[in-house]
Amino acid sequence: MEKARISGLQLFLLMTGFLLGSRLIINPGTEAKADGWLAILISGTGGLLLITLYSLIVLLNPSRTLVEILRDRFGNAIGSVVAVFYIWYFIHLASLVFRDFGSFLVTTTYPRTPMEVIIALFALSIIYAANSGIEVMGRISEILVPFIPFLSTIIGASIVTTHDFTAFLPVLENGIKPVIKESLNLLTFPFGEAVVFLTIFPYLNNKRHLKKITTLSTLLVTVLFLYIFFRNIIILESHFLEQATFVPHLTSVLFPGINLEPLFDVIMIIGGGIKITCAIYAAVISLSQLTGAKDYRIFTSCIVAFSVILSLWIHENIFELFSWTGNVWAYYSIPFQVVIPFILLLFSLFKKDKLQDEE
Amino acid sequence: MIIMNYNMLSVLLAFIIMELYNLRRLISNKESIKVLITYVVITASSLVIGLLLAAGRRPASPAEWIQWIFKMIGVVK
Amino acid sequence: MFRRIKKYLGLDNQEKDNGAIYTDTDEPLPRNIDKVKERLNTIFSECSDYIQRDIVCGEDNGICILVAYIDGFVDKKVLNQDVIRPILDYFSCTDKLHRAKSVYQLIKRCIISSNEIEEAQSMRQAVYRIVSGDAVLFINGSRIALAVGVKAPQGRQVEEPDTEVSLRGSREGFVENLSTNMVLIRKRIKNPNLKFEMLQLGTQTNTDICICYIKGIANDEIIEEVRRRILKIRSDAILDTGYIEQYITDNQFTLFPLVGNSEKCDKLVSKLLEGRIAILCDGTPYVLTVPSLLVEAIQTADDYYDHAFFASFMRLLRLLALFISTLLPALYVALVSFHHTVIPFKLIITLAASRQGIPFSPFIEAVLMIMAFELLREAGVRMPRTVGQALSIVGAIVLGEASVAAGIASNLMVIIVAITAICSFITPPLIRVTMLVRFIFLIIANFFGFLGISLTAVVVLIHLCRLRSFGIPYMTPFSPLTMADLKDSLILVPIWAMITRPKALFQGDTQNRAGIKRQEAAKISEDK
Repeated sequence: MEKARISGLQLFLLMTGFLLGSRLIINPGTEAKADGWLAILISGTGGLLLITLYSLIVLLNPSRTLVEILRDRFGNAIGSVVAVFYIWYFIHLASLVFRDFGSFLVTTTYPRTPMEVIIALFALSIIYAANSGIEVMGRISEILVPFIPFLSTIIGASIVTTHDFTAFLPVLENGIKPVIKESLNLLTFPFGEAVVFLTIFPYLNNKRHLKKITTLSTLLVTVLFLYIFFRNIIILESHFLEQATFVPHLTSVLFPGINLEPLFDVIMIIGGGIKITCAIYAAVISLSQLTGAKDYRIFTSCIVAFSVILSLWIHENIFELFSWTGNVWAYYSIPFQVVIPFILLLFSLFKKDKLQDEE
Repeated sequence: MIIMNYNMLSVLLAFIIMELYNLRRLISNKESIKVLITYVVITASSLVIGLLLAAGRRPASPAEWIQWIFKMIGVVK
Repeated sequence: MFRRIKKYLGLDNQEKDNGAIYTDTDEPLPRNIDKVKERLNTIFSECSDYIQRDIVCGEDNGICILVAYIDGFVDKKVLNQDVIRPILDYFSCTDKLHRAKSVYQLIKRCIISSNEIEEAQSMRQAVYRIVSGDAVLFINGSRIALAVGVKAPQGRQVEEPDTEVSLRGSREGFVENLSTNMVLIRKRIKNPNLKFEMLQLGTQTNTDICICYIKGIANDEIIEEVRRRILKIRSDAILDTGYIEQYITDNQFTLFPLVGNSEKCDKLVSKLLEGRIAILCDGTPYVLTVPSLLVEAIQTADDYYDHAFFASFMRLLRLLALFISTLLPALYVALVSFHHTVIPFKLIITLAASRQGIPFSPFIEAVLMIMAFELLREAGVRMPRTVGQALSIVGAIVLGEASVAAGIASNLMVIIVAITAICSFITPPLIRVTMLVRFIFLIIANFFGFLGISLTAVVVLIHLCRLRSFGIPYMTPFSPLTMADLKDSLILVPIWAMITRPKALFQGDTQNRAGIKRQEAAKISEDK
């Protein structure tokens, strides 16, 4: 484990950037149409519970990262196997985000640049970021993440001029089912993905504030999602919302007078970069702990290269990507995001009691 | 005749150079055999997949395996 | 044969070269004056500026004294008045001679009227004293020589530095003479806590280096680190603080200056009072300050003398200038070659019109113009000042007007390079950094447009966040965010509201004490 420590503010911003991540380019709550705000609220509540679960695990196993906790609680053999699955999950997550950004850039701003090259460029800066260590990642997020709410507020404030403010009515037009499905999607992407932070929470310098920080961050992200959702639906209206692929991008193009595409690219790079860096960092740290490497940095470039290749391999085209993330990702994630952490929490509680009894 | 995707190849080349450079550091650091094997396996697998992709022969991806498994279980239609 | 190999490998230590080349061996001084003379003559053979004078006096000519010094280095008048004449006068009346005391003690305590006397215990010390400008007295029968400080004042007068000009505040700049510089600092901080630690560096040059700090304000850990790094320097020559800078910097592979330098006394003193440590070097007016942070690039001495509102505005302007000077050409190239849609429609028409008939791509055009400007700037620095006017005419007319007329560059490009050039002069510490970073951005922009620019900007930012100057993160106070230190960053608060010292420069326990002391002092002064 690195000796570095990050401050509460740094963790808060890192986590906010992570959660906002690629949801900045893919509209939150699309499938529920006009009821997306309901889905966001439900998933925000669920996300709060999940993230509190993760912080409890870390608090019950102080100064241990994911692999160490898994090995402690499940025993060396089972723990290592589960850890391997987690590493795969983190790499998979990183490669999905890579692909999201690659497709986004290729379809919108850079139609003539090959996607491989765009993703590889991204990857190079991410290797540099991940190699700098958690402390530097915290410091970068301290400077960059505040730009996200700032810029999206500017974009929103300047395009909401003459539009239909009742676009999200009537409530529950299509029944509750799509809302539930969309909530599940939003819960697993992005809130549940915060399972990555099981490797980052231990670096917090003051553990007492952990629960407060995570709660605040989740709440802020939920509020921002609601804001983005209302902005989009007010401007575009619900039937247009489900037809467009990259909705937030579409709204930013509507900015009056000047084309804000590049500004939007900046927001996206910040969110996506932080998300990928966290996932890669988690994978690399876990892998180095699993194999007992002296320096985690030796794995960074090979893991990043692998996830870049994986991101190009994993889906044939953007439609397949979206249908997969819409239909399969939620079920695929549940074991990693809910089941194993929950078992881990039970084990931690149980074994802690046992330890205290022995004492 | 296989038509190669040259963008993909150049990206692969960049990564290979970086990883070979890294491998040197790995050896000079005297890391354990386990680390070395993991490193080589990951690098080799990404190289192989990358070459297949560059050649335009995309094998079935993990996403498809996962989807297939879920279909077998019956979670996803 | 074997001996030669041994010699080559440096194994042969037995062969001591006592001939023409003087090596630092710690030999004791011979008691006999003739032997001293012989030894000095071999050491200083072929040194035409070396002078030695015999004084033979006393009862039966029993006292022999050898005065050795470097010609021109010592003030001969003072040497005669304070050293040679008193000795001759004293011993000319033989009955005054105290037999109880040794001649050495007598000369040291009673005769020489110079105020600066030091003992040299060995040949090495004596030789060092001679070459650094003292007159050294060797007395027959004594194993200790006396070094008398009769150095003649050297070097130029204190004047206003050319490189750092300020509108308000002191005009005094440092000079080449170390002791003058020390006086300039001491004059402003009349406090015994201001410490000057002297040491010598450079096996050939024996340059005097001075570490200067205020005890109780500067962080002890950083002082120790500075000492450690300076003592680690193995070099045969230190000609400028620039040499030291390269040895003690934290990261060799960065463009950004991790060690600050200044020529202005008031600036340096304010840095010392903030808890920084200064490194002075004999022979150069540039004084190093560590730790040095990025935010110092947009701070000037004037800010603190002026009203806080104006100063804050100027700081924001300087930050803007920093961005413009690094990014503007790259943004232009990206806009023109990739992102036409972003440009407002009316502008794009004029832009297309002005670019009509230009054979080069925007990138080549930008590189040509920026290179021309950099060449002009370099020429302006190197050439004599009287020719400067001719150069500005060449720059303005030939490169500006004529290149457009000749169809090499577009009007807009000339404007952009001009703005970039103006902005790069606003933050002098980073002027060379922005020059190189600008080119990097330009190349990336040419290939990948805005995506490349924003990714590179992020990489530069990561790099900045990685850097540390003597353990202090380079981006403080922005990241890690130090609320208390933001008062002196982009927005400057009035000087009476700056109650605490920069927090970032402290890490140990001493910090709070110093800070609290200052707060208490402020309170007391308020009460009064």
